[in-house]
Amino acid sequence: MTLLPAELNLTDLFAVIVDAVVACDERQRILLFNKSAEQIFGYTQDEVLSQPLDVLLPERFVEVHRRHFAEFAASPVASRAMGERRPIYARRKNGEEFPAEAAIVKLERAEERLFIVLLRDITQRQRIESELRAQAQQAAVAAERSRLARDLHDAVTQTLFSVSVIADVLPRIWERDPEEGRRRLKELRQLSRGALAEMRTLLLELRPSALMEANLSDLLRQLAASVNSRSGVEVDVQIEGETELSPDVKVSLYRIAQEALNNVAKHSNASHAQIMLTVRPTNNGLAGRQVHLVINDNGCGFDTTISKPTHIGLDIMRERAAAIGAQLDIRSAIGAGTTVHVEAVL
Amino acid sequence: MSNEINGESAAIRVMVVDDHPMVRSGLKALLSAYDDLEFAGEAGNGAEAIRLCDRLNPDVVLMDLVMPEMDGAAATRAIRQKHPQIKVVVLTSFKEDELVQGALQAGAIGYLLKNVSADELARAIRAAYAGRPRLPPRPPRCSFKPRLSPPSAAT
Repeated sequence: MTLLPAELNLTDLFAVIVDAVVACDERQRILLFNKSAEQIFGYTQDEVLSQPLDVLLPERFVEVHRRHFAEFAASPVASRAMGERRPIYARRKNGEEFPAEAAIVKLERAEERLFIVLLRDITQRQRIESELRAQAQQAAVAAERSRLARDLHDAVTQTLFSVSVIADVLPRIWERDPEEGRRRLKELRQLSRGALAEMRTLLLELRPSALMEANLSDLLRQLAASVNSRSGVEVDVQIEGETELSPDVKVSLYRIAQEALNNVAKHSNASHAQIMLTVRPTNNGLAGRQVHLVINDNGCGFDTTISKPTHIGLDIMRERAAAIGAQLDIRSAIGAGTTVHVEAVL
Repeated sequence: MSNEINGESAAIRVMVVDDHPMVRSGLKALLSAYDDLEFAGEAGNGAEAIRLCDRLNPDVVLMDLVMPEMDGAAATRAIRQKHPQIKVVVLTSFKEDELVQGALQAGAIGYLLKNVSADELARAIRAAYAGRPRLPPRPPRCSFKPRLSPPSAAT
């Protein structure tokens, strides 16, 4: 059965094992308590010999532990990990509870049965894990903040700089050419409205719950104004039908439009884009509604067979569409603009 | 063009390089408001700026730093190498020492932040044209890092 020499003494082995090893009989009386167990629990072996296992448990678990132990003793299973899904808790001599991982092994010899419990104190590991989790969370928050700062820089500050420069020189321009002055004043109005739309769009990112509360047609108009302000692309918005939609549908459609328009602004070189949202009753006579969202542009387009999806946020759009059971279709070709089409039946 | 009243040779011809169209438009308005300044052309990135300099030979280039395809420092270096007579004034929202140093090493004669008034900017253009450097005041630390590598274009 084993290649180990027969003279290997288990007690010697237990003495050097880093896990606590506690052996007990069928009545849960402790028969062996190794060095590591002494260190982890704070008892000496002499203090716990013949004591019930209960002394090593928080009182509230004593009852359920007895039951589990009896079940295991009666079962044909020879070994089992305890608390497979979550850590169990044990109790030190000073009353302190600690999280642990443990396994139990049953040895049967004639009429006698021996149980060996192997237990590892995971206090330290849990602390490190939770620190790592906290760090990861902090890093995510920091990354999100710097993304917002970049967006503010890329968008709003550039627009406001232009606004301030035009406002500075507007009196001079007006004096010399009132027609041009009026044109620049109109530009000022557009730029400041655009900056406002961009601020609102960015504020939505800071408070996503606002996204759930707003009306989709308002959100899409704001998005259009914000993209126009940032990139100069003219964005028309056409809304048809009753656009009061459930929050998850609304958020998904908004995110898809946002991603599509980001591409238009960044990559398309388009002068014009369009957002069309249509909500109408399904034409198969059944109750329910059909939602179409189309975003297209007159830009340079791309070869759909070679463009990497991750580059242009296709993955994000696909995920969003899948989340609400919608069909997403992207058509484009070099020189022929791009159309993103989303269709869902609600 | 109102500048032509004074004769074209009198006005300083300024090219505008910025990836944000509304910034270019604002600067164009600015240039049109001063008799001694003239809008010579515009570019949306560094590579385009270099090509345009070959063609338009402006007196002064207003150069943004962080742009897609080719950034402002690289474009400044290339323009100054090919056309040593063209003066480059950097106009950016970033004030980190490392960006200022990079731009000056590339050959920029002025460095302005995107919070200057129109008059200050006009003065800086004139100073650059006359060969006088103009640098930013020592700024407080910026609270976020600029995106030094622009997003890659997919289309």
